[in-house]
Amino acid sequence: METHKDVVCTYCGCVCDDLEIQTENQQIIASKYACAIANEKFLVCRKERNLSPLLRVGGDLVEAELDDTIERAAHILAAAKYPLLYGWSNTSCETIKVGLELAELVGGLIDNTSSVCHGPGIEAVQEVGEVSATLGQVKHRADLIIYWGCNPGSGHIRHMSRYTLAQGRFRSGRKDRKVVVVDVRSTPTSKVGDEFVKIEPGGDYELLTALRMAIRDEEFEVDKVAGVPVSKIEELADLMANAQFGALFFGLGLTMSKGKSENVTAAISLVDDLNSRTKFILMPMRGHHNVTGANKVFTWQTGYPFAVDFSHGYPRYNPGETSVVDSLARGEPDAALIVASDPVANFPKPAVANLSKIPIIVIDPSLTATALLADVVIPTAFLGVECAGTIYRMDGVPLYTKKIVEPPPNCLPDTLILQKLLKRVKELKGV
Amino acid sequence: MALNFWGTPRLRLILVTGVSVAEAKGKEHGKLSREYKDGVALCEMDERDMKALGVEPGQNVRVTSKYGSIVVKVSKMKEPNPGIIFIPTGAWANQLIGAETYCSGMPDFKGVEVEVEAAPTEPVLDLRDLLKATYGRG
Repeated sequence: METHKDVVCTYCGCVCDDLEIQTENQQIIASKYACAIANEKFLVCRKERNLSPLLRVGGDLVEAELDDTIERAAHILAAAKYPLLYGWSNTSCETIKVGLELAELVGGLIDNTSSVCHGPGIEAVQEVGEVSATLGQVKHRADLIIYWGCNPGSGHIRHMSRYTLAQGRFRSGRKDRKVVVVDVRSTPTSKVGDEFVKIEPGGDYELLTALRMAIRDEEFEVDKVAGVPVSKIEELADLMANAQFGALFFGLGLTMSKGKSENVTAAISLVDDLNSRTKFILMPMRGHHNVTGANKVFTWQTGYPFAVDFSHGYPRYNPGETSVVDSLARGEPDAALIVASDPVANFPKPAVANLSKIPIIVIDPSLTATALLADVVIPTAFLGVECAGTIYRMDGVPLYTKKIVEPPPNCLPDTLILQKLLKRVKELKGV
Repeated sequence: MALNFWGTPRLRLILVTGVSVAEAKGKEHGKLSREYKDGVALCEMDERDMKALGVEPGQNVRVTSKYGSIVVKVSKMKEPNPGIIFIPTGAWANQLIGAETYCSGMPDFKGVEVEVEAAPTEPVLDLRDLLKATYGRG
C-alpha cells in the first residue's frame, strides 16, 4: 500500500491541496481529508467509464482504434467553416494552450464554461475593476464573511472549513468571525451563518444598491427592498462598514439571475464604497477546478478570457454574439469539438437542439451526455488522478496536480490527444 | 390556484437550478448511472407546496416553463422555501431553460417562472430516452 500526500483535488474551484490518497496495485482504495464529493471522485470515477475510442457508424457508436478516431476528428475540423471548440475548464492549462492554437488554425469559436458560469462576473470586472485577495489573506484576516447567491455547503464543501472559518494568524477561528448568507432560498450554507438574509428572486441588484445607499447614510422612502426590511439593510450596512476585513463571496445566484453582469457590477461598487471606510474584498466562487485557469490561458493567448471568435483570422470577443449559447442558438457552428465538458447536459434545450444537428467530437475521461450524441468519442486520463498538469484555484493561485495511478492503455492525457489532433489538422490544411 | 384539464391543482412557482451534492456525487458514477439520475431528475419542493399539489416525496410531477416541459420526481426540501423549486443542473432541468442571454452570453438558469402539477401516470425518462425524445439522437 502506498500513501500519496498533499494531493491536489480536481473537483471544485477550492482546489484543496492537502488530500491523502492511498493506493494498492494501481487502484485507489481510500482518501483522507477529501470532502464527500472529492471522496466519490477519487474512489468511484475510474470504476464506471468508457475505456474505448468510439466512432459513429450508421446510427450507432462502435469501438474503434485511437488513430482512426483522431483521423476522423481531424477531417471534421479541417472541413468545417466555423467549428465550435468548447469546454476547457476541467482540464489542465497545458491542454487549453493546445486547444487555443487549434481554434486559431481552424478559424473557429472557442469558449470555456465561464460563458454559462461566472462570465457575467468577468464582464463586470472588465467594466469596473475589482478588489480581491488570496484565500490565505481571507483565512488570516477576515472577520466578516458574506456568502451571496452561493451555497458552499453543497458546491464548495471545504471552503468554510479551510478558508473562511479556519484558525488564521489574526483570527482564532469561527468565534472570531461573523458569517452572513444572502440568498433567495434557505440552503445548508444559510444554516451555518450568523445571519440569513432571504431576498426575493431577482432582487439582488436592488438590495446591493440599497446597501450602498445605507452605507452613504441616504434616506429610504420604502419599508422593504427586495423583500428585506430597511431596518435589516441598515443593520447589515453597519456590520459591513464596521468590519476590520470583510470578504464577499458571490455565486451563480448573481450571474445567472436577471441583471447578470449588472448584479456583479453592483456588488463590486458596494465593495468599492466599503473600501473608503474599511478593508473589503470580493471573490467569485468558481465552480470547475480549472475554470479560473481557462480564463487565464485564454487571456494570455488571445487577450480575452472566454467567448473568443477566430473566424476573422484574429481574436474577437463580444459576449452575447461570440458566446457559445448564443452562437449555437443561432445555428452558426457547423462542427463541434467538446473537451472535458458536457454541454448536452448543461445547456438550454434550444442550444442543444442545434448542437445535436452537427458533427460532434468529444474528448473526455467520462462517457457524457454529449458523447451519446457524438460522432467521435475519445476517452482520456483523469487529470489529477491519472495524469498531471497545472490548474488555478478560484483566487488565481496556480497548483500542479499529481499523477497517482497509471491510466488504462487507451486513455492518454488529453494534452497528448490534442497535440496529435493539432498535428493532423495542420497536415490536412497544408500548414 | 389554477387547475389543469384533469381538474387537479397546478401551482405557479419559481425554478432555481444549480449544483447539489447528490448531483455531483452521481456524476462521478457516470451520466448513465442510477445514482446520477436519482440525484438530478428530481424537483426539490417545500412541504407546503407539496401539500397544495397533493404529492408525496417520490411521486412524479410535471414542470412546465414557456420553453418546455419535463417529468421529474418530487423530493422534500430540507429547508423551508415556499414558492421556490430546485432542480439540479442537468439535461432534465435544461428542458425548461431558454437560450436568450440578453447579450450577456448567460441564459436565465435561475428565477424561471414554471407551473407544476402532479403526474402520477407519467414516467421520469432515463437520460438516453430523454435525449432521443428531445433531439432524436442518443
